Amino acid sequence: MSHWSLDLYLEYLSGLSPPEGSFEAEGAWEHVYDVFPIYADLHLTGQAWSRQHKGMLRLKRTPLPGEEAFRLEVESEVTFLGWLPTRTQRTTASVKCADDRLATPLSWELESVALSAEDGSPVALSHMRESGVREDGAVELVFEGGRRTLEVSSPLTSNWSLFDAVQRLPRGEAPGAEFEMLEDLRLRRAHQRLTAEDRTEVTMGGKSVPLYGFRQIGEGISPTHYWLDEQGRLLLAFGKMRAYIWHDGVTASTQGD
Amino acid sequence: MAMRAGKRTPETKKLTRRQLLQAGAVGAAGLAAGAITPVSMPSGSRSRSASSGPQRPNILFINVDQLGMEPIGAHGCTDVNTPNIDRLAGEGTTFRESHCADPICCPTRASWFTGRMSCEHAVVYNNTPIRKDLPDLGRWLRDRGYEAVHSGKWHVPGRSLPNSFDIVYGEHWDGEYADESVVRAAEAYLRNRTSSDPFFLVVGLLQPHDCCYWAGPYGKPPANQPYPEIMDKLPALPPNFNYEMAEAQLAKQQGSHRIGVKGKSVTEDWSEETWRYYIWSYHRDVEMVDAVVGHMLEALEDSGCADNTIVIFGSDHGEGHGRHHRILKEYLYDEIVKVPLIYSCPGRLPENQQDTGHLVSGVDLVPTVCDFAGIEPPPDQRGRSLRPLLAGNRTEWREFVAAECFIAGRMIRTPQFKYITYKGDPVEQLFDMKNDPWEVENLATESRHSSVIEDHRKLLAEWEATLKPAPEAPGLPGE
Repeated sequence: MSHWSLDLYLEYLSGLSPPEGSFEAEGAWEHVYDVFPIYADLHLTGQAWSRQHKGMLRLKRTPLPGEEAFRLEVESEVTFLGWLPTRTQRTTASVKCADDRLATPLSWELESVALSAEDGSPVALSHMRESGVREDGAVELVFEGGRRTLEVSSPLTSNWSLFDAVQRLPRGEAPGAEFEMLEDLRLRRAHQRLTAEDRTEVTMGGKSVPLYGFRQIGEGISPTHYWLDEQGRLLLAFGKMRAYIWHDGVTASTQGD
Repeated sequence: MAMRAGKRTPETKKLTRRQLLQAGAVGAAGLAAGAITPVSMPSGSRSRSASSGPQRPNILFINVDQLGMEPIGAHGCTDVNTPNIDRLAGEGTTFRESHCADPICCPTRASWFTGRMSCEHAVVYNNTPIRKDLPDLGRWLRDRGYEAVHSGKWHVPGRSLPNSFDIVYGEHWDGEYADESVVRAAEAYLRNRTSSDPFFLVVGLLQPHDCCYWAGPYGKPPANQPYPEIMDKLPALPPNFNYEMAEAQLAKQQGSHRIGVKGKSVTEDWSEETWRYYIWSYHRDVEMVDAVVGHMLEALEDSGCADNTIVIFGSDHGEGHGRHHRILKEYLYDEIVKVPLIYSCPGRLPENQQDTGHLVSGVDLVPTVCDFAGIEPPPDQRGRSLRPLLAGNRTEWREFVAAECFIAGRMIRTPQFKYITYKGDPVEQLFDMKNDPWEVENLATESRHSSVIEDHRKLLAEWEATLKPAPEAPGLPGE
């Protein structure tokens, strides 16, 4: 019997090959996730979650020796195939994160562009580039033609940083203190808290895979669950309407259709 | 029935009913003080070189989906944290008697962009196509010198958006997944544009609509909320959670009742804890979109265009969240038909105003935007320009607002009363909104209110006589 929060994903996970081999969360790694909007296709296909409107998240971690920090390369695509000329919002970021419990974002460069989902061409006027630096109690954003100071509280993390941080947290032990999350390095989500989940297991590729996890609750987010394998890899992260699922590099993107 | 004065119109003169109805039909020019003239505004930090005449303002219309009037900090809700919408309200005027034209997504959006009622534009329910000959606000402004740009939710069926707007991010149905992408694309447009034409930028955000899916026909809310750490944070149930009242058959079938499967309401088995968890969860959706709205407002400021941009914030309809024992929408109680509406342009429009007196409607958007843009609105507008109210001018104002719902439903809201009827259904409802704001006591059957209900029936009949229903508008099944 798997944890209740995994019900929607059991069938899909069963068709995935589980990652193999050792994993060192503190070292260098690269993960790719398929990103699904949940429930978006219900009235069209009856499926609980869409296999059609799919995005992607790639995270690559590189330790920075001697700096008590690491670099997190982010590549994110959000695609929704609606009734109109469709767009993919593509965001790339290079984030220097502190090697602390929440992978605090210290500085970053971020670039985004909207692409035509049909042919991948950039949409006019959609390109944007900005950088950010976290200083005491604030984040300084710099973009072409201006700058903006965002007041933030401590501890601070980002949604992408958390994907790293939960892999380094002791199992069954979540940090007790509240923190602030800068979603997509921009949206302030205050009063966040992590709680450790009970262990559970799922079936992937015919094998039983033990999982441990955390959940995040706070302002401006839906409760978000993080599930990791015994090696500490984050396999699955989902809120109410968005799921990041481990991309095994083997399974066809339309699996389950 | 006395006409209620707005905060900034201390003296009003009551018009005849016929005058009021005509005023609705002719739009802003009928009663607003003075002729339509464009707002004269200094340029933002990016220069604008209008070819002639006073510079026309940019318009940024941020719309959200399923946000009622109530769950906003600036409106007194303490269970939700909405600093960005609150800030916008503080920098402008929030209309506390704002009503959608139809409490269903597609119809109300079609009314926003055409200025016509549902029976006229033919979008009487979700996904029924709009009348092809009606102009929409995007195309109307684009043809008159505006750069019309759209990002995000549109949901006006049958109207090809590219014919009316340039699109920077497309339609989506999932706020948590895509709302921030909608704003990023809109932000990039603001930062990169070089045109000297003013813009009409529509940013369509989906949240807090995500609640629809979570607890809808396919969603599976937990029998009891599964997070012990929030038990003491769950909001209380509203005073009208349990109520006994006759309702029209169609009204009974809407909201959470309509989406039930096998004749069973989705919420039938919900525990009190599940209801409270739903409300708690809805509030998180509201906060989610509040942050995205904040990003959009900051992007406007960063673009250098803020000084010359009128920001309009609105919602297509509200959400049940436990009121009248319902979730979702598609009925005519206040939690659904009353929607936030904020106009802001610091330095040019009054700040920190709460207009608690004037009854305003979703069909007012077209005449208001056209008024600010200095152009005539399309013909047969049913709304009026809010510009005189925003300017604090003395203005005769309408005596009532009307709304339609699911083909047969009609609402007439006057300053004190709300009248609800569904064509072909004998049940009528009348609420004293001053003394019964939670709408739990139906006065329609009380003889002492017979003249009031008769008066509202007449208002409705006369209002409907001014409309031009679309022949292609679908009727009720069996009609």
